[in-house]
Order: sequence, then C-alpha cells, then structure tokens
Amino acid sequence: MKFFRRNAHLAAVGLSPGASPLTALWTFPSMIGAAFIVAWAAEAAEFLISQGLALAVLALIQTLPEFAVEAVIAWKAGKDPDMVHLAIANFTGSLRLLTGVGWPMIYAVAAYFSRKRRGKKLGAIALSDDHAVEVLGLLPPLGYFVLVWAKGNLSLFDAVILTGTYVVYLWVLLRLPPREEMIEEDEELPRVSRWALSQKGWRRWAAVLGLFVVGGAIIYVVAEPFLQSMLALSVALGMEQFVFIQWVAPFLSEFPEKTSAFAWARRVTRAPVALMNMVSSNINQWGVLRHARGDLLLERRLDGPPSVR
Amino acid sequence: MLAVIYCWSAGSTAPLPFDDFQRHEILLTILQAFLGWLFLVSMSLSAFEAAGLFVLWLIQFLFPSLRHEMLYVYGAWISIEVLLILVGRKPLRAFGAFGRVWRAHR
Repeated sequence: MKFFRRNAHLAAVGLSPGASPLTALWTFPSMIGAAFIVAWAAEAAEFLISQGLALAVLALIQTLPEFAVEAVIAWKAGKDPDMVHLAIANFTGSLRLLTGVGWPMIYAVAAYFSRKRRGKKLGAIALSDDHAVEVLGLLPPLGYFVLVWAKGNLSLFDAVILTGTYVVYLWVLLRLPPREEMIEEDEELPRVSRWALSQKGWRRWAAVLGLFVVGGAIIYVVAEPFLQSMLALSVALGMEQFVFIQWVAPFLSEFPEKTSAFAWARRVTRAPVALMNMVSSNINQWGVLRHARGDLLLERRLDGPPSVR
Repeated sequence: MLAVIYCWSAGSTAPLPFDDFQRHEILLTILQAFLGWLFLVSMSLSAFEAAGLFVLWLIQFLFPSLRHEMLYVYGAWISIEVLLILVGRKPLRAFGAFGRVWRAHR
C-alpha cells in the first residue's frame, strides 16, 4: 500500500523543495530539544499524577502536529471520496509503523545498552502491574475495530463508542496514584524534571505544565519546517526523493515518540515506560483516530495531487 | 475524529465507507496489533517477539504485493499464541495485574 500510495506521489515530488538544507541546523535540534522537554515534563508529572496519565498526555502532545493535518484530510474526504484512501492509508500505515518498528526499536535499544553499560544480557522487558492498564486499554478499541472492519464502514456512532473507550481508559488512569517514592531516591531523574519538582506548591504544577506547553508548542510549530529541511538535506546528499518519501518521512513524522522512547530505553530500567509510551500512542490512534502523519504535511507543502493508487 | 469531521464536511450522517482494499489494510493492521497485544498480555516483551514484530512489518513494507499472504502469516502466529494460552503455557498476567491495581486503588 505504501508503495502504491507513494509512487502516486512521485509526480508531486518532482517539485523541488523550497527549504535550504542548512535549515536543518535549527529544525533538527529544535525537534530533538522539544521531544526531550515533553519527555522531561512527563517524567516529572509522574510524581504528581499517575505514570499512565502522564504517558497519555505525552502521547497526545507527541502526535499534535498530525492532528491539524488529519482534520484537513478528513474534511477533504467528505467532499471527495478519493481522499478516503489517503485517510485510511495513513491511519493503518502509522499504526503498523508504531507496532512494527517502534516496539522492536525499544527492545533493541534497551538490549544494546544493557550489554554495554551493565555487561548483562537483557532478557525480556518486564512490565509492572500498573502497566496492565495500557495493555488492557488496547483491547476495547481494537476489539471494536473488528466490528468496524466486518461492517465495512465507520459511522458517527462508532466514533462515539471508540472515543468512549478512550475516555474510560483515561478515567482508570485518573484513579491511579502518582509515584510514591521520594524524588531524591530516583538517581536517574533528569535534571530538568528534578528542577520542576523542586518548586513548591502551585509552582510545581505550573513548572510541569509549562514544560508540556513549551515543548508541545515547539513540536507543533517546527514539525513542518523540520520535514522540509530533512527533505532538502536528503536531496543535497543525493538521496532520491521517492526514497525519502517512502522510507524517511513516515519515520520522521513519529520522531518525538521515537526520541523519548529511545532516551528511556537506553536507561534500560525505564524501557518498560518507553514501551508504554508507544502503547499509549497506539491506544489514542485506535480510539480517537488521530492518525494522519507527517508525510502528509510534506505532501500538502508540495501541492501534490492527493490521490491514491 | 475522522468520522466526525468526514460527516460534518459531507453534510450528512452517512458513515464513511471502506472498499475491499481499505478493509484489507484495516484487517492487516488489526491482526498486527492483536499479535502485539498477545505478546504484551504476559506482561513482558521478549527478544523473539520484538524481532517477530519487526520482521513481519519489514516484509509487508518491502513487498506490498505479499499483503494478502501476510494476513495468513499474522493469523497463523496469532493462532499459535492463542493455543499456548489455551494449553496454559502462556499466562495472561495482564488481567491479574489489572485486578491487583484496581483493588489497591478503589
């Protein structure tokens, strides 16, 4: 499907990207920085709200840039039935990327650093009891999608049910407590998270919220120039544009999730949390259907014909 | 969200229809996610399982023409996992863990 879809985009890609490869000098660090800021915010938030809820908020922010784009695609699909293909293609493609590449990547990173840092072979990534909420939270929207598949369409009623499963998932997470151990006990807690938590009273909440807002805003604003600069860079390096569209763009559009997951997986002890970050993304994609990815941002910019097949 | 905006834009409450091709894509995605879920329901992810998810993804990505065959591959692996659960070789730890968490914070 990806090949069908993206080959159809080759005509669109004949246009040269407007950005200079040098813009990567600011977009790349900005994106990495923003991904880290929201990850630090989530790690600090675990001491204020349950870890699962912190991860759910993180997952929502990480997919923020796609939210606006998806709305555009869905709107166009309402006017032009051909666009339905694009909407479905992106929904399925990004979910498969998350499970098929994201989850294994976490394992690979944790295994590598376990061997390198501790000289120990990583067995399985073991989840803690709390993570059962994410694991079981994946089942209701997934199960309901079997029904959607069987009847062959997606109605407003389905949207209500699917959103309902997501609300229940958040409601369960709201009941769980924040981490109980003392902040000082967690030696691995990043400095920024530690700083936010060192504030007193309402300032503590404000600091954590502020990190989420700042990081989220940067991700939202930088997403498109980031993708543009990566395209320009790949062209400058002699990479075929279709290779970029087929292989690189989908990966880049999940970049914030991959960054936080990588940062946590390399600490090995936090690999289960990295995995739950991804699972939480899976849940919100199945449940709230926010799924158009960055390759669409790119396409929109290139004014390509949004046709599929 | 897709359905809501679609209906709003189309100006009707008619559902968003899928054709056979789209249904196929959705089924493939459901099967992959369900296999992943079956891996996690034991509350752990092993090297073998992680590698399996990646290899299957890579095959369907590199060879989109094999998409139909991939349905059977995912289906077969799912069957094996379900069989392991039925004969008690694979514990469904997630349900027990959820029960403990739920009771502790009621």
